[in-house]
Amino acid sequence: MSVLEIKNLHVSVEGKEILKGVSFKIQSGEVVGLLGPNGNGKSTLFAAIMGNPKYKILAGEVLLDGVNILELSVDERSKAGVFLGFQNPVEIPGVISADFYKAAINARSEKKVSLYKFYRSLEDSCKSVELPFEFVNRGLNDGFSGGERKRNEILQMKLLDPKFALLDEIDSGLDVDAINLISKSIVEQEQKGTGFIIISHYARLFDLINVSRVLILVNGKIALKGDASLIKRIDKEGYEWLKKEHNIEIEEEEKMNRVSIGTCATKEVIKNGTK
Amino acid sequence: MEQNNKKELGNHIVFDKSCDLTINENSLSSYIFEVENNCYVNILIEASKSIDIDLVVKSGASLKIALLNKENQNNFNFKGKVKKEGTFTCVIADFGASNTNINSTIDLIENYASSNFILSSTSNERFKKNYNINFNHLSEFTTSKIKAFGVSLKESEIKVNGVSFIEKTSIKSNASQEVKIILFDKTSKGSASPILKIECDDIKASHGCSIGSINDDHLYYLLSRGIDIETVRKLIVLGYILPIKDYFNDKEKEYIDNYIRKDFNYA
Repeated sequence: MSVLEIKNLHVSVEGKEILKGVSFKIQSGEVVGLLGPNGNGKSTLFAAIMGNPKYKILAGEVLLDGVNILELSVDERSKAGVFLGFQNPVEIPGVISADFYKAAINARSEKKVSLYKFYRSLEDSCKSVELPFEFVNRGLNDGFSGGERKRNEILQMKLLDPKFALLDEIDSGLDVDAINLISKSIVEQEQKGTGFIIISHYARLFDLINVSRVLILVNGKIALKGDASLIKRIDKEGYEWLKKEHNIEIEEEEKMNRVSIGTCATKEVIKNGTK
Repeated sequence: MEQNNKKELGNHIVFDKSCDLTINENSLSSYIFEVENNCYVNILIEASKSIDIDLVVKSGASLKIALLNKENQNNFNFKGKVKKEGTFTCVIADFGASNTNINSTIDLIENYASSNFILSSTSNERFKKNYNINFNHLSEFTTSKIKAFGVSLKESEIKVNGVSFIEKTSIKSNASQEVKIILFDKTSKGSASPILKIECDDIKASHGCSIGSINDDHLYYLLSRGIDIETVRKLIVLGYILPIKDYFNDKEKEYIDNYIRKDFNYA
């Protein structure tokens, strides 16, 4: 049985405090739904747990089986058993997917995985997420659709078999069949003992998995805790009722400033002195 | 393939049938290559000294020169002309522990002539590698492409200067340049200077250059899978420079693969 405990976590990015004291615990095999309006700290929480260098820890701890993983490097946190399913997985052409998966698996064991075992496991995982096996010879996420990238995240989760999986909007951009597939993988992994914290804005995914608890993150704090019925209510009514019933005022998301970076080409006609 | 499908006059070789040729240690220092109409010629240069090459690729013909710089090759100069529907491709895998200067000027003198310059380079210690690549589009529907990937380690330097000139009557021509240089260490240097000199409006021209350390988001993504920083850097760098081996035959492919993996200590 493993435990991931977030204790009074305060996190800032670009000088602005986003998380203002988040605390909760999750155990192996639990599935926690993390909801909240956009821009209120959900992805920031995941980024802080995983160690994204753009996010600064101001205070607090993240304990994995008693060890504060905030003191570990990103790769060490992964090896300790934390997996992050990215909201927008990057494309890295040139890094062959198979090389990448093998490096990730080998990072976790003292002995390098045998080629036969590796390809066997990879083939099975590809089948389970319905990604064609020939994808493994392509650049990582190179030319993948949004849905294929999300399925690739789940494939990696299966290969790495983490203690805890943080899935950031794994259902965004997926069609109904793909959501069914992903949810099946989550249930299978949960049965193997992986604990999940799942960010989603829609009830459909949550309906298909066994959510034990729901946390609502507003203004950088856990505003409300409850069971799966909270998901249905939010799906139906949004977050407006939080103000009426719990006196929670949702801060407005800051708008991005548009900046022009100019042009990189100029046309000059030099003949006859004209410009 | 046959190596006797050519007429040799000292260092002036006329290829009147398709063939492959290897230039090795005992080679001359200058050559003139003429590829006759509709002949396909592949030349592999493994020599470890400076070489100058003049070339003419005639109508419908194709000349590919692949240079594998293993050790001490210093200078490599070539200039030439490509005629109607002819193609000249230069592929350079420059992983040698040496300073290198490669200069290339290719004139595309008749319609539908095309030329490509493909480079993968690693520079280590304090070596400096300079690549000056020039294409002159002097006729209609001509195409040129520069694709260069470099990795500069320790205190070394890589410079890639590309000039694509499209003359005013060369309508529907297409020139592109893509250069990416990764600086592996804080003391490494790189520069890319893409120049498009365009006198004609009805053409396509593009350039994309980037120099810098490895993309932070890529680093973070790979680290988040438990791969340590050194292995991550090697994966990314190898991914950029190893594809060049597809332009070589099996023996050279294996050499390049082993050489680079050893250079980066990556099995």
